Amino acid sequence: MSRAFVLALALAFSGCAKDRLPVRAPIHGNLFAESTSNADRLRMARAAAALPLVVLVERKRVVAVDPIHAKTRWIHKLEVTGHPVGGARTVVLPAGQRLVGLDRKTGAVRFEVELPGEAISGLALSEPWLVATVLDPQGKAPGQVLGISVDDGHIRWHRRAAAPLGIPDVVGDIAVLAIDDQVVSLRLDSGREVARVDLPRGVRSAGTPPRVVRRGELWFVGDGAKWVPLDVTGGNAVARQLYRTYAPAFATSDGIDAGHGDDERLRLWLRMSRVDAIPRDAILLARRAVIAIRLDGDGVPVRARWVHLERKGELVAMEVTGDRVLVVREDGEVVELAASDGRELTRISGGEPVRGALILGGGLDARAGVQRTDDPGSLTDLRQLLTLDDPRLLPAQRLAADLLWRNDDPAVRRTIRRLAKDDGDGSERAQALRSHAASLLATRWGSGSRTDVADIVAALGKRPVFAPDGVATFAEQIAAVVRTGGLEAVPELSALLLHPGTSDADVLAILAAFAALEEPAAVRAVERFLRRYHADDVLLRETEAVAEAARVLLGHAKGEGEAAARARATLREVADDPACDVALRGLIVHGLLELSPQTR
Amino acid sequence: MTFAAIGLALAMLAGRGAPPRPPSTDVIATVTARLLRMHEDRTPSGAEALRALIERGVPPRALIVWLDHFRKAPRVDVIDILLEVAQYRRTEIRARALVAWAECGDAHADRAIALAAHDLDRGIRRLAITIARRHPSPAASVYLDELLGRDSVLADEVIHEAEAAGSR
Repeated sequence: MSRAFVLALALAFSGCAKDRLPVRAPIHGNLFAESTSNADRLRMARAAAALPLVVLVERKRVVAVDPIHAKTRWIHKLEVTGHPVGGARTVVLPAGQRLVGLDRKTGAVRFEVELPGEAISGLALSEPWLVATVLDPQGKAPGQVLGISVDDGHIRWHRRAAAPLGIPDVVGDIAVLAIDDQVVSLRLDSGREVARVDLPRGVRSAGTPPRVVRRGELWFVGDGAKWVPLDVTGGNAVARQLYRTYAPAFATSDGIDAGHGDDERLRLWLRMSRVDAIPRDAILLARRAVIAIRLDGDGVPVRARWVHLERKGELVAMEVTGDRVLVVREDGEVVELAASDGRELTRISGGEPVRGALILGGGLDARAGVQRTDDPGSLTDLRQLLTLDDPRLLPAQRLAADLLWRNDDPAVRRTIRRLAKDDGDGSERAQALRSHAASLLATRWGSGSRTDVADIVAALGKRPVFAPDGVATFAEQIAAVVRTGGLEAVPELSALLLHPGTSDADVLAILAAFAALEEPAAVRAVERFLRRYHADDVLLRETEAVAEAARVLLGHAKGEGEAAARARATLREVADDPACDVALRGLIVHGLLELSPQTR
Repeated sequence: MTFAAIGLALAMLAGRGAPPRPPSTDVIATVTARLLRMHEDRTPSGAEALRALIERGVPPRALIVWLDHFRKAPRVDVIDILLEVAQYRRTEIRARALVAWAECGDAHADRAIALAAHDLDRGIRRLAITIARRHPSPAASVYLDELLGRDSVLADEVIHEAEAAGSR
């Protein structure tokens, strides 16, 4: 009997849902009610209890490594062609249209099963059920979904679909996957459709079905760097997207699981909030670099928690398991880092080159026991990352630049100002980085959110006027804008600087803020201030502000660009004016003499 | 960098730390004369020259002479310069700029009163009353009512002065 005949018989007698899975059918059911159950928790607990395992996918074999004891647990000769999946007892490896199920502990073969169709689209495992989606463009339907028992490898049910299917996820007693512009859930034991919702607008498919994943109690549909939480209405949620697309967070495929590829060396792992769709933490894997970051309420990276850099070799896989981050290098080396501060815990040397890895963790709750203290050396690491001349690190360097710009200390942000002017070695990478740094200068600085900055700017928009309950001072807001603000704050600070009612203390604070921020847009206001008062001996006697304005301009005069040239011109003009106060002239001339001859 | 400035550098370095001194009377006289000459040049280029000179900054004493002259011979085409000077930190300059502004016409007087009424300096707020008496208007009355409602100390002074004047 041919294998195809046996397969056909198995399918014919599977006795479960066989009718075609429609597209654009009426929505029904409740995705959430079906996806939570005690059995689900039991399965997850069993998975948690299982020993962590790193399954290295080499060219012609797989090697299972115990990362805790640094031991090879088993080796199996097989040319793996897709992405393996693993559960508490079983590791399933795709090899062409064949699936091989191995015992997780021993590597012994538990089953082998041949799948219909031309290519595997995706696999998901929730023991004792394995769900596979396949592409079958030449068959009776473009897509198929199958339910396979991992106890014996038998196909228990299978359904054809009127469109290609996305990579599935399984939770509880259901499998969830995208089909055209909808998400359907099917019972694992029968393939019966139990719920269907429309895809949210932001991730409507444009040919490639998006990815459906479950994180905690929430379901998400994602495509690259965009994701949307699924709710019962499905279609109305607005897609969220990270502020910048550093790397895909929700990897999809074009319908064919082609296995581990080069694209997996650039990935973003998100720790989603348990109450909404806003990620709080993320980890970027970018070739040789791993950067753990904290995100603000807008999904913008706000600070680095730690940075890890491999000296040689690229990383091909990363997974967060409990309080550990496991990464695998292309030479098979396995490195375990502490999720809290990036400390290297273990390093297991590799052997043969690997294309990718399946990392199975031992932790149920990724948040459990995670300390939130950042590595105090992360700023130094970020600065050092920017200096490395390796074009593969450009995504990580862009993130590093963003994080330095989000620091509340203007001295830290100065690194980005310097980078925006520095041609480096003239390479494409250096130019791209310089361009990125230049673009950052036009964005808000510091850790504040959009709302925080808007509040500060609004407070600075008031003017000192007589009021019965006293005159407002702006010291707090001026200090705040040095920490976090945006270019929209500069006109307000400028107006306050030139306002006659602004107190001397606030004027000095504004000039100090302008000096710290080094923002060229502030030069005009400081010029006006200096010009207005440079010949006023009475004012010069009463306040240090005029001299301080000259010092601020001298600071700008050292640089390049239009603002620096204007600062130098103003200083020369003021010093040349016979009406200029003598001491002020001396200060300016001395400062100009200290400039380099080319700049002067 | 001009040779004059470099040449002065050595002398000025010796003067570092010395208290601020007013410009020499010659310098003030020269600048004052230029301001008045430009003010009398009622052409657009004259206005531009006046604008450019004040933007470069002039000694306060020269500004005062010019503002007093402006009050007697207002020029509406350089109101923008007056508004700039009305933001000067010293009250004697601000006061003269507001008075000069008010001489440019009734609408300008109303605006000058409104600005004076919110000044932090009580002398300037009192000036709003003086300007309003010289340029009465419905808007001026509104500004004054609001000012006296807000500034009870000034209101008391005004009432006291009125009573003293009445008893004389």
